[in-house]
Amino acid sequence: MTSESARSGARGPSLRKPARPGTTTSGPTSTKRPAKRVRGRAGWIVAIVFAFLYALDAFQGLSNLIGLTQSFASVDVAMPGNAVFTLVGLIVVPILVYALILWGTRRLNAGSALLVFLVGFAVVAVITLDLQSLYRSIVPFVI
Amino acid sequence: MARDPDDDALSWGDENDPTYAASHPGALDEDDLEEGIPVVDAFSSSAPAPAVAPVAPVEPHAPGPAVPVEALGEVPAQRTTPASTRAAPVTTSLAPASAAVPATAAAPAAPTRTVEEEADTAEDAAAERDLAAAEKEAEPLSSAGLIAFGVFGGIFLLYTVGWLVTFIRNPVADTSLAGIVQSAQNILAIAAPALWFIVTLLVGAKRRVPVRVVWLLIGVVVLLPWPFLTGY
Repeated sequence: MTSESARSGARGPSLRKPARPGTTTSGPTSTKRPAKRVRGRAGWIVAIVFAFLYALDAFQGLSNLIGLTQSFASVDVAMPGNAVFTLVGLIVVPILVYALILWGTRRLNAGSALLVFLVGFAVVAVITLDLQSLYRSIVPFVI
Repeated sequence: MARDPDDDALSWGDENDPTYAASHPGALDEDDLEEGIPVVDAFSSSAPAPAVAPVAPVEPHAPGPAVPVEALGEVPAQRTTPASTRAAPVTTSLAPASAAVPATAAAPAAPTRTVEEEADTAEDAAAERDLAAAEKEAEPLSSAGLIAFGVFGGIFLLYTVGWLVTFIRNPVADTSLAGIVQSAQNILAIAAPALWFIVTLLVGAKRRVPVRVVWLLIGVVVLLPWPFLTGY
């Protein structure tokens, strides 16, 4: 028994030894990591600050959807399907653009990410105005 | 006790050294080496370890001929990894260690050279890569790329004018939060084409020209001033 336990004890480290090359192989991966740069603390601060701004646009679209739906319901008029599509688009576009930029700037530094988030915010404004004009063309009257 | 090979090397050829003749009975002078006298006979006649003696003198560049065989037999044993040597049981004979002498004695020179050569080669390759990258970055923009960027700049300028006309056409007089947000969106829409153009050229400065052109093309599609075109 003691010899077996000694053998098993001797095998224990030998079984653990193959794990060590695994840890040593993590060395090359750690050396490769600088090539794959990840978002730093400043980048996350930029992302969170712009998340509030994009959320403001999304809540504006949400308030438009709720308010106009109630307005149409108050006069017993069915809202056109295209108008609902544009109002839903006002909610979806900021979230979609923010998600795309968050994924696209994962390897950029904070300054570049800030610029890209700013451009994305301007693009959201452009698409919002586009959808609003489209909505006005669909629903030419104000309720 | 084993002699330090450095001492042997320092005292090599010194005939006035009293320990020279005692510890090197078969050693030769520099004159003997220059005359090409074979060392094999001198070593084989007095060598205590005959297995090593025929091998050691064969290398002409090594200082081996002046080093006694007994020193050759023990010095590599000291140079080998201490852990393996100390971990070996005491009952094992010294013959394996002496048998391993030629391999361990000849091994250190070649790998260090290859490692240094590899390091030099890697440094040269890295320097060439850096130089090529610097030259690639420093090379001027092609005429086609310059014209394309100019055309896209003009298109984005027209877009800015379009969004500005839309903002003038639809003034926002509301001072509530919704009105402020609407005004901010209008201002951002006016600045969007210029922002897209500048940021594409800044962030994509290290990208190839076609990649930047594709991103500018996407901007042309996305930032189209629909309210200006539709009249709303």
